[in-house]
Amino acid sequence: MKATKTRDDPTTLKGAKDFLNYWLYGMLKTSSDLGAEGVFLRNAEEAAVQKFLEVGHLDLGDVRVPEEILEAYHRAMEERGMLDRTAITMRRDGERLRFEIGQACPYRTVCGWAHAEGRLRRCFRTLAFAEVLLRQTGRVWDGTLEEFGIPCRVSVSPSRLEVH
Amino acid sequence: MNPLGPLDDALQELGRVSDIKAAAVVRRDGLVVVHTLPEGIDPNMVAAMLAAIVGASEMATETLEQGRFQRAIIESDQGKLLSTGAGEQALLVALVYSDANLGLVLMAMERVAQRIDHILSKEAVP
Repeated sequence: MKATKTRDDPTTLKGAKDFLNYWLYGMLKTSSDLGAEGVFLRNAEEAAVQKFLEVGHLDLGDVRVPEEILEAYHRAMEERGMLDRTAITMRRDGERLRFEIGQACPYRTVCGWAHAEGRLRRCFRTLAFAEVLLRQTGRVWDGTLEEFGIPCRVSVSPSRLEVH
Repeated sequence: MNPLGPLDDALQELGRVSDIKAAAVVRRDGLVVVHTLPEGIDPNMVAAMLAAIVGASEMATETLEQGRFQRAIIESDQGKLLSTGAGEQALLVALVYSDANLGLVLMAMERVAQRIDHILSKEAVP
């Protein structure tokens, strides 16, 4: 008899996204409870992006323009079904890149849980942006969650506290 | 203005305390900003560990209702590692000799931490 796929079946893209959200919630809650959310999530994102690039999901070559870097990153994520580029707008504001992110963000579920618990201080999307930008531009970038909602308003900008 | 120059100067002030072997200014998310750590040591790995130690120490202090967190001190055979907050964005870390005069070191660290906080607050982007 053919098995029926349930809502959380990780062999479906929807199921994989659900499990991604459970795992991220676990990491967020644990690191937050231990008082090390910022350092833990940044290091986890660094390792994840490094592996994503190593495996060959994205080859940015010598692209150094922040918007082009993130466009290429978005394309790579969209090709894997993890992002709907029509749900994201990106605008430059000086050195800051501002984004509006609609309903289709794969992290929306975990952010909704964290927001309801009063522990949402960071945008997972901008953590990834900052890491990809650091690798390509050699500059440290900071992500800012300005507003959680539909759309979310977030931004990334070069950090004043650069690595020396 | 880039705050790294003044931060370097602040770290140099700490370097004049003879009991201090090395020091670093670290972002609270674990990236090193400026440091005088010895060669051969990965400053980013150390910075991430120290940011985690301070974050967990602050949380433990709060959970145990012990008032404001002041500093974390790690003692080992060959030295002591002191970490304290330097404003909302940064931490100040010092590696000192095992027989260091902690009173003098802590006074110097407090002064430099305030200086760093002042530098970063002044530079804050609205």
